[in-house]
Parts: sequence; structure tokens; C-alpha cells
Amino acid sequence: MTSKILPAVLIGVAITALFLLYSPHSTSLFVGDHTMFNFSNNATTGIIYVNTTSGKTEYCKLCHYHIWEELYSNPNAPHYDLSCETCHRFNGTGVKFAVINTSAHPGMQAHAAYVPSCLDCHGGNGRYVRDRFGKLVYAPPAKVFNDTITVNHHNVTVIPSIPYFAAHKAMVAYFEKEGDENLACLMCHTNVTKHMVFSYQYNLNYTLYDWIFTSFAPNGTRYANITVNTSAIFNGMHEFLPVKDINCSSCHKNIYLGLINGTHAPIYYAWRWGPDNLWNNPRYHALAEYGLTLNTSWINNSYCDECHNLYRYAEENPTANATYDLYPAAIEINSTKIHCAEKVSCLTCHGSGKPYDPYPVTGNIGHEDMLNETANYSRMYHGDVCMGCHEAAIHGTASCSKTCHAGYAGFDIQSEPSGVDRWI
Amino acid sequence: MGNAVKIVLLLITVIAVGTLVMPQTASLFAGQHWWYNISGNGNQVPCQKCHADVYEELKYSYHKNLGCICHRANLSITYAEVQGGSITNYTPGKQAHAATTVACMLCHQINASLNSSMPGPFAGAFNVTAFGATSNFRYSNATFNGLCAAHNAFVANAIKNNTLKDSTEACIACHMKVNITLNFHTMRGINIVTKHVILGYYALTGLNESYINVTSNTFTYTNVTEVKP
Repeated sequence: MTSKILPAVLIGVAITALFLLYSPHSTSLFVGDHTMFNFSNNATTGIIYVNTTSGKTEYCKLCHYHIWEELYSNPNAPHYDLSCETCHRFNGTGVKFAVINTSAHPGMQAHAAYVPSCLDCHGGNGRYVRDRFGKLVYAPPAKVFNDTITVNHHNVTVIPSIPYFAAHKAMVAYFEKEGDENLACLMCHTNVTKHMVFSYQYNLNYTLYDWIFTSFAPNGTRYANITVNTSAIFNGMHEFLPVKDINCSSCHKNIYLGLINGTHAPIYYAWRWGPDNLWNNPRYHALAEYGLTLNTSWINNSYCDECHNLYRYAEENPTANATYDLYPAAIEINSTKIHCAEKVSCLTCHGSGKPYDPYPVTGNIGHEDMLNETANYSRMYHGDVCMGCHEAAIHGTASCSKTCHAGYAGFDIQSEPSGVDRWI
Repeated sequence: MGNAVKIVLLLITVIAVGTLVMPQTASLFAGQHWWYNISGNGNQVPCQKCHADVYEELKYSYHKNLGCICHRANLSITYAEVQGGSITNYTPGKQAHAATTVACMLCHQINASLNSSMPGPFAGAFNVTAFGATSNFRYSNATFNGLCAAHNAFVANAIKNNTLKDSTEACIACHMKVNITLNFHTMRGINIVTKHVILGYYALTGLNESYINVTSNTFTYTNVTEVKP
């Protein structure tokens, strides 16, 4: 036994002695804190590389791997072709960054990187930027929101004016006022988690006699709580969405459900009015006959575009464009000038003198007067007023014994997502 | 004569010879009376004797030609020094003897030659005052304002942290092959509250206008861990 232990002890003592002899007498606080990276800037792409034990790699990726992974998670996503440096070392704003090539050049407004404003590239008339393959690619302007001023290269971007007809104007203006209009862009264009609380009237009661309002009363408050969750893997801020994947119904689920339930737009037609409209075309807004099953997949961005981006709808649906003569209407309203959606009410197209004013076709001056009177009420109520009659349910099943045709009409229209439209 | 007797006699002989030739006394550490001659120019004290790991790192680094001079570069500090080849011509250290710990910004601040005997390129630009940090080193001026630097907060908080001098933690995090675990507390969600607002008559549209106004916002956060190899 002793003969086995003794040699082992002696060997242990010898190893310890050698270790003590050859190990450093002191150590630095952090291993590697005197080993510097040698940077190599790719002159064509602008990407900065460093050498690590695993080989040459993109510099930003070392500390921001999750963001890198997000950015390149979807080959179809916008910015998939860009590098970190394309945006965060964008040289079009006057910000000078530190550069090391044959000699060192200090940065002036930033050292390694800056936090860009989306509008640095997507403001004005757009910009050409260098992608990660070294190719110049065009960053198109974010129409309506692209009228920008960058103050003193301090990363302060001011949007002097956003026209009234731009949907999402208030959101962009709000985040701009808060100091980061990028957040408005992130809301729609990335997979960041969104939670929205919309509040508006719970219902609207109104009565008419001979097309003249005899009462008009919005009541209560309805809250629509909507959450759009990002994926479990990513934070979403750098997970850009292909434009086709930006789903209006995700954030406006209350509207989506309201449509299914029969409000917001005359999505159903009823047998009393038939499938054709006043202009003898299939009803523009209708997707199904009342009482039959609605294919909800038809309530998609294209359906939203029918009103909120008429120009794009006309472009993408040449048959509909020819049938309804959409281009002149799209130009007459402001559809050609918008970013993604126009703020409209029914009266935008169907008001007196508007592209699809019913009066020239029907000759019903009472209805026309009612439209003009509706315009005096707040825009937020226009759709509900119209839907009082135009929600198919009314004409599908209600008795006509005391309807508008007898001079009196009274409705209780509940706001989205409810589809309740009661006769009162 | 037996083998055992032979071995005993051999041992006695060896011990006798050893006792004869070995010094009468021994110093505690071999070499402890062997002084380095430090009267020449430059540094003759081999820092790497104790800091071999640093020496090895530095040897393959961007600063490989500098040696350990950074640690004696502070012009506001008088280090112990022997000049001119004579040990009688010496300056005792005042604030430090052999070396001081050093902040990267000593040599990489604006006009570093005012403070450093080894001024390097200016590491422009950061603006740390916006994040409540004060430093003895010049990070920015009117021209090199650093107002857009993405890492301003990182650098400013490194200044506030006393592990290393000034913002050196931030410098080595990016510029050195030091392993880092970064715990990002990062935004994951945006919450907004809106309210429908009635504006009143608007001449441009001829309508009684309203819009959905954003009244407040908050963020939700998550923790993301990155490990820099």
C-alpha cells in the first residue's frame, strides 16, 4: 500500500513545484484585457471584421449576436440584405464615425455606431445605401412621414407636418414628440410585441324622421385591448416584416371582428337589396350574403385597401379598377399620397359631390341631406350612422312596418367589435 | 564486506563532500542580491517576470511596440527614475514608484499629449455628460461632440464603475479579446393607450374631424444574455 501512495505523493509534489515555478507571479484582472482586436474594414461593404479564435467574424456580432440572428432570420424580410454597418454607420447624415484602416480617424459625432432614425434613409426622397454584398440599394421614402429635418446631426429628426389624411399620423407624431419616432415604425414594420388600448363610444343611438336627425347620442366608452405577440425566440425589434406580412387586422382586431359581426363596413348584402349596387355593379364592399357563412380569410389587407388604400387596391386589382373606375377616385381623395393607409369615413367617397355620391344615381335628396347633416357630426360616428341602415341585418330580417320608408328610423349601433345594430 | 556496509560508507562520503563544498549559509531566495542595472535609458526592469501573462498577450497585440510604457505615461505623476547612466542621478517617485494603473483615455483623449507621454489617436467621440458621468479625461468638445454615439451610456456607466480606471471597462469590452457576458435588459414590447378625440369643424375636409390620439405609452422588457467569446 505504502509503495503505491508514496510515488503518487512525490509526483504530485513535483507537479506542484513545476506549476509554481512556471506560472505567472501575478495575473491581470481579466484574461485577454491586453490582447487587442485588429480591425479590418471591408472597403466595399463597410463591414468591420475581427479575428477570433474561431476565425474571422463580423465585429458587431460578438456582443449583439441575438440582434444579428433576428436580422437574418427571414430571407424575405426587408433589411435582410443589409449589414449592421449599413444602418448604424450610415454616412448620409453627416455623422462621422471612428475608422481604423492604415491610420486612425476619430469619430466626431459617434465612435463605433449611432442609433439611426429610420427616416435617415426613408425620409426625403429615400436614399441609396450599401448592402452587405457591397451593392447600392434604394431605401424608398416613407411617404407622408418623409418630410423630415435632421437637427445638427444630433440624431434629432423632426417631421414638420404630417397631412391630416394620413392614418397613423397621431401615432407617429406622438412618438416623435416623445423623442423617438422610430417606435412608430417598429409598431408596424417589426415583430416587436404590441399592446394597444383603443377607446371609443360604446354605442350610438340616433333617430331620423323623414331623413332628418331627431336625436343623436353617443354613449359610454368601449375599450378594445389588443395584444400582438412577437415570437418566443426574438425581441422583434430587428425582426423586420415583409410588407405583405404586416397584417392590418393584427393591431385592429376590433375592426376585424366588427367586420365579421356586420359593422364597420357593409360587408354583407341582403336579399332585399340584392348583390348589385346603385351603379349596377357587384356591391364593392360586400363579401357575402347575409346569413351565409363569410370566408373570413377575405377580410385581409386587400379588403382594408378597398377604402384605406384605394390606389394600391386599384393597382393590384385591375378588374375591380376597370369595373368601379377606381383611379380617378383614388386621385380625388388622397390615396396616391399616403404611406399605407388613408384616414377615411364613408363620406370620403360617398359624401355629397364625392366620387361615389349616390345622389346623381338615386335622385334621393332626402338621403343627400342626411349625408350632409352627418358630416356635421364627428367623423368617428359617420360609419356608425351609415351602418344603421346599411348593415345587412336590418334589411335582411326586420319588418318594414315602421322603417325609414314610413318616415321614421331609429338605431342603436354598438361599436366594434360588436355587430349589434338594433332598431329603436 | 556486505552490501549494506558499502552503502553506508558511500552515504557518509557523499555527506562529507557536500558539507565541505556547500556555503555555510544560504540566502532565502536565490538571486535576491542580484540587482538589475537600471541606470540605462528606458526600462531595464523586466515587468514580464511577474506579468508574464500580460506580456504574452501584449506581444501579439496592436500595442505590441509599446511595451509597458502605458503604466508610466501619466504626465501628472512623477515615477521613480534613474537618469543618465548614474545611480546618483535619480528621481524618486512622488505619486507612484514603478507604475500606475492606467485608463485607456489617458492616451486616447482629445489632445492627449497634454497629459500623456505616449499620446495615441483620439478615441472620438463619446458624450458621457448626457448620462451623468464626469471624467478627468476629455471625451468631447464642440467639434467632436459624440452626441450620436450608440455606446454613450455604456461608456458613461463604465466611468461610474470603479472596477477599472475611468471607462476602461468599456474600452476593453469592445477592443480587447476579453471574454464578456452581457446581460441586456432590453425592450421587447410597446404598449400604447389611445383615446378618440373630437377636434371640431375642419375647413380643409368640411367635416367635424376626429382622430385616434395616443395618450400614453410604456414598454415591456426582457433580459437577453450575450456571451462575447
